[in-house]
Amino acid sequence: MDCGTCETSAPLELHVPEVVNVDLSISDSAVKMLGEAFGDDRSMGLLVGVLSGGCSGYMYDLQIVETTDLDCQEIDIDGFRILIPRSSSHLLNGIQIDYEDRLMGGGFKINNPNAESSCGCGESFS
Amino acid sequence: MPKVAFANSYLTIWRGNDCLRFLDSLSSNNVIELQNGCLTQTAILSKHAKIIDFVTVLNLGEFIAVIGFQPNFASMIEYVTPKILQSSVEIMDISDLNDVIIYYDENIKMEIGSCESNEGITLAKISESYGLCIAAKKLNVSFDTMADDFDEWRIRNKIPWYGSEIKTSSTPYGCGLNEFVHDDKGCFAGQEILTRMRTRERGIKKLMIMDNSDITTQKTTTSGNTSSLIII
Repeated sequence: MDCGTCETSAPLELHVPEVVNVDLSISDSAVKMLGEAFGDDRSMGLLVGVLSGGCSGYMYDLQIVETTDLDCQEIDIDGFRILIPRSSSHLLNGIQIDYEDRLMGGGFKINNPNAESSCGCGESFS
Repeated sequence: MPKVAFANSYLTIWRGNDCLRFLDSLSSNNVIELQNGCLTQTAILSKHAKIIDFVTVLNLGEFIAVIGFQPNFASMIEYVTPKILQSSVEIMDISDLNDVIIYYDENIKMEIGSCESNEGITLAKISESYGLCIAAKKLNVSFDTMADDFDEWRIRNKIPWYGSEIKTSSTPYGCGLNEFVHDDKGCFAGQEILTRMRTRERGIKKLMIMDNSDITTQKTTTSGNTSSLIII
């Protein structure tokens, strides 16, 4: 196989989504849970990203991080650092981060006005 | 060994740390565990579980090679690239630099499901007597154009093919690709629908070989001299 490394084959031009300034909100129950998770340490941040996958094509990716290599917008809400990768900003503008306290299917939830549909477990959307 | 051009194929290479996870998340078979020197085949699916393309994936260490059907290339790229987002995935189209050739009716001494590259030629063994040979165009490897012989061989070996059995309007269960749906790999695009089809036993079809003399009202997908492929 000629992999084109020595030739001038350029990577395919990818679809580059528009970067938007993300506006988001966090419910009281989510703030409470973040407070319990972070404690007094506000050096950590909540990274809210999107990966391919899940049943509907896109999948939320929530991580507690100190730093990240991703190019992110940083938003301060109630003293919490929320990090949104710029590459996913068009999918996350207007979201509400909620927390549902129940035995089955509980945890952080994203209510996303950009989602046309989501899968049964709520982790994936399109 | 009989060799025919894989007519209307495309060949892409994917680089980056997230390639296998990325492809795994959008397709029906288990790709994430694909080891260096191994291959698999998988259907890239829409959220409605319709086939966007059926691809052969080779893990060649330095990169992943993905071979599919050229008429599906544009829709595959249009579907896949917006989902790269923050993932480390870079795709190059190297179709113009290589010939993709199907070899069949020949048992090459390689493990089934393995692939290897040597002096500009990559061999990939898909099954006992069938595989792909990817040769740099500058090597001028000789091969035939796709012919009836290949279809006759496909019928005997029950191999679904693009345009005949594999259609983008279908789910993998509707066109003989049942073995390329991994039942418990976790979430992937279209998975909820396929699971529902499987558990309710609805819409699951089978690819079968039928003697032409037994065919009455059924519609064949590939017609041969004495037998044909049929999806029922």
